[in-house]
Amino acid sequence: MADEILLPTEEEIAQLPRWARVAFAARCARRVLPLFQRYWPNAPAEHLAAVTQAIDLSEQAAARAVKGVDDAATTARAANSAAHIANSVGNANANANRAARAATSAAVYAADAATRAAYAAYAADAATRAVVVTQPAATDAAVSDAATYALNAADAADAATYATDVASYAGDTAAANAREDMAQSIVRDFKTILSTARTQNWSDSTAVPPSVFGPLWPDGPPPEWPAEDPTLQPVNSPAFTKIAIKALIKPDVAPETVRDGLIELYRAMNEYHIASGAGVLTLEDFRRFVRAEVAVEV
Amino acid sequence: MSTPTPPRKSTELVELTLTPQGPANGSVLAQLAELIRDAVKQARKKGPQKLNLKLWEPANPDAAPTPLAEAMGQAEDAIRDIAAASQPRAVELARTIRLPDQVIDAATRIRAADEQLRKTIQELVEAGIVPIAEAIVESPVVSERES
Repeated sequence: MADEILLPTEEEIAQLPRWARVAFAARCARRVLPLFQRYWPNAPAEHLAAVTQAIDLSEQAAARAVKGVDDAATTARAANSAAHIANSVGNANANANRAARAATSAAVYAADAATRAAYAAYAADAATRAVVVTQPAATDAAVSDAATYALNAADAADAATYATDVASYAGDTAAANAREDMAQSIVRDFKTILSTARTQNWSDSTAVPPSVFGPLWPDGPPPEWPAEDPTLQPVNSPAFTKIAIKALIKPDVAPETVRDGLIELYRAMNEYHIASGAGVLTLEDFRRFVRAEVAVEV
Repeated sequence: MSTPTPPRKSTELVELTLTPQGPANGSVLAQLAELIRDAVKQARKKGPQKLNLKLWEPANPDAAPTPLAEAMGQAEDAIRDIAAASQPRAVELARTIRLPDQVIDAATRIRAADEQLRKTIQELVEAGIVPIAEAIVESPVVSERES
């Protein structure tokens, strides 16, 4: 039974490098996302999108180990959104029974915990770099944040199993079937990432994509487990199909500098796109613009 | 180019629309656009470059070619050549990146490409060329001006 399987503790999770903890938290949240959809099928679209985005952002944060204030701010906003939804589930989903509402809340809480882990990791990363540069006083903040994201990752794991447990109390056959699988899978995920981190000597700057865990349910999902809606598009990942680059070329830049610069810009963008497994970027259009002779109103 | 060209007196604008070969990955395109915006912001040490599209119009294709227009034409040809040449490697990488033992290598490659793109943008901005990136669903925003 699920309660006989010991989930990784906060102290155990703290053995993982920075972004591995975030990846683990996001993985736990990803597991129970289908429960949100099952128990709140009529949830406002923006709520479902916000929860999905929270998980997505956490996965992306870990996958890229990105350092940036904007990323941290975006993640913080996602965390706030997820937390807000968790708080509103009880009222907005009033037609569901208590256990179902609890399962929904727990699923959202797992997503919230993942984003909080990501945000804490950003903060710790920024603090660590500040220490290196000029601000030794930031050391305490880095240590504090490291503890925070370990705690949040543990929260996400707890919330994932809790969501399954309370859903099974609601009489959900799928959740009852999944209780043991859920806990075992979370433990297996943790062992996988801890082992990989050790054998490959990961550091706090090592990026950890979600695929490091392998398939979510390698032996197939538990019987009757709800599938994640494949058509769901997170709000930060709409169906973009192309990318436009406008380059402002200031006066006095030599034509050959423009030529070489545009080629290098394309080459670097193409390499990033290829490295991400997304294939070649082909040139669809190349257009020149000049200052309008008569400037219309600004 | 062996002959020095006289300096231009005004800013010009060029737009490249890039489309993934095969199915587009919206997340990667969004990340790429965000990365470029962040790199430009870092390089300029101030907010993102603003662009008032009303102040621009498509260059007249029948106008006498300028040295800059010729250089851009050369860049366009070179970019198409690079895209064609990198196709086999991209296909192979897209296949292997889904294998578990390739995941860490892939993350390393992405990080290296991230750093290279930031470095390239830093050099471009220092040279006086400021990129403005936007992931889009349909046609480029500049085309709205023509409608």
